[in-house]
Amino acid sequence: MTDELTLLSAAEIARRVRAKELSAVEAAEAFLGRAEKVGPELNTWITLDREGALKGARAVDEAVTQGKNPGPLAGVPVGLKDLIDVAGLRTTAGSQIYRDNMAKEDAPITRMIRKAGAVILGKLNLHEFAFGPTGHNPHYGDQKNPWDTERVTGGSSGGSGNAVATAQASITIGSDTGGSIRIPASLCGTIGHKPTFGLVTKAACFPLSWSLDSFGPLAASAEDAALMMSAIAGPDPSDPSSLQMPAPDFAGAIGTPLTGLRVGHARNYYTDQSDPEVVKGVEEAARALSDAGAQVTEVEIPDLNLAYDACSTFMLAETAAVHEKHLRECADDMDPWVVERTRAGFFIPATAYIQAQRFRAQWTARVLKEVFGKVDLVLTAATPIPAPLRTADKVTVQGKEYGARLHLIALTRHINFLGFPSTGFPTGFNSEGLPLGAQLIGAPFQDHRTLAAVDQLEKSGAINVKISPFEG
Amino acid sequence: MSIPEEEIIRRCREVFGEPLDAERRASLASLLDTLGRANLEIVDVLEGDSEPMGHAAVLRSARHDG
Repeated sequence: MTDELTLLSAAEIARRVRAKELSAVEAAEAFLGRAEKVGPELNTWITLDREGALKGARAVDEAVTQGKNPGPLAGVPVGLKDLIDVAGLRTTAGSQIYRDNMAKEDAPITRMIRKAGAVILGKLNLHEFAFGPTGHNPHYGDQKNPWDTERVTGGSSGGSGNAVATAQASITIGSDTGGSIRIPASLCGTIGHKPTFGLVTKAACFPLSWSLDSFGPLAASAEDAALMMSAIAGPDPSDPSSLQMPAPDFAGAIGTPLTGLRVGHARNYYTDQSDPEVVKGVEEAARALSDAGAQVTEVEIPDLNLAYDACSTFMLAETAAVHEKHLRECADDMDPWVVERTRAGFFIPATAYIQAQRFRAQWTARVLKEVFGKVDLVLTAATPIPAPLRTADKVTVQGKEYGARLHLIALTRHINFLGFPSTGFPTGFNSEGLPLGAQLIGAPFQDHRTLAAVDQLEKSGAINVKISPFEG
Repeated sequence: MSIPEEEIIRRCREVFGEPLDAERRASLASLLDTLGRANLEIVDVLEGDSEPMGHAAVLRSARHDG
């Protein structure tokens, strides 16, 4: 049975800890118990740090006892994708090449999370080097979907997704380069927020593609994701990609009614390539937004195919640069599929990389003007399909065959290219009992508005995160 | 980015220590061909004042009411 404590929202855990109605140690024990019970079967964790978590929890309880403010995430048990340095724990990046890579210091994002009072349970499994949308991992085990363990979690933040979906952690941190937060959120049925590029520090986090990587939360509610964003958003001088912009007021935005909010429904973005049940879920979300007072209109995003290919060009080039040493010296130690995907980057001419960068700036400015000049948020599906089988190479959608892996990123990659914020949320389940997902995309630094809109959908009862009953 | 097969073989041997089998060479060539065609389209639509570091400036210029 799922411990009732693990079903509390992060906001409620923090409130009870601050009010001395619950100790941080009790909360940590409840989530650790759940993680130890179901984590191994779902291949959720690479390192579960019971000792460190309880030490952190005791420090929070001590602060409460001494009358100090333990922070907005007081005693909230969290898990971090294993790309993020935590002092004294290894950072494997999901690769056996880094199986003994001990971190000496916390990454800045880790420090921020601790400062907010959260308790770090450990490091979460992922697709090797975050370079894959499924959560397959030959070194630490394929991350399994708790709604059907024969299916993928989505990736690359697969452990971050199945941890939240099974209440092994209250909030997790994932990274999103082409959809790696929103894809597992969609396939596991959770909230997942990809922040505006440069809003959340990625210093001392293992890179996949410097120009596209964003780190953000997966959670069981938009309010909890916003709570985490309050802790981790903002300028970081140690991160060269930080845009040095002030964080939005997340707490102030939660609870804002949808009345008057302009939402563009971008059907041209997803309907042709999506499963009909996915389309139906997004249509219902559009109706719910309208019923709650939003003005929902049709919008069209221009030049989607060109943007997709331009994004591929420079992501492949950057990823090849990140992994050149690995490929030259120890490619045999890597997942052959990851090696295969990385190869193409060595053949991208410098001119094509630069033209793609130029196009990115031009296209982003155009979308900002032509789309976000008319609406505040854009609604689309998050993934065109529910979770495919772990053994599936191909999927058929509306009579057309696609590669299963690459089709998972068909609706997320463009948003990384734009660098805009996007909150993924569940729209329900399909006829096979698998979660379906949508996303609300905002203009730069409007992260608080995408989260607040999803929060309103939850509070209206139109959508909700359901914790999987998986017991192993 | 239509790259001759001999160049793909040479480069793969140089980086990966192997020339790749014919199937994987064909897959790589197909992807590079797609990206090459996209590059030509991109060059056609690029405006004179587009520059590679412009993206961050576009993000920063967006309204910030947080």
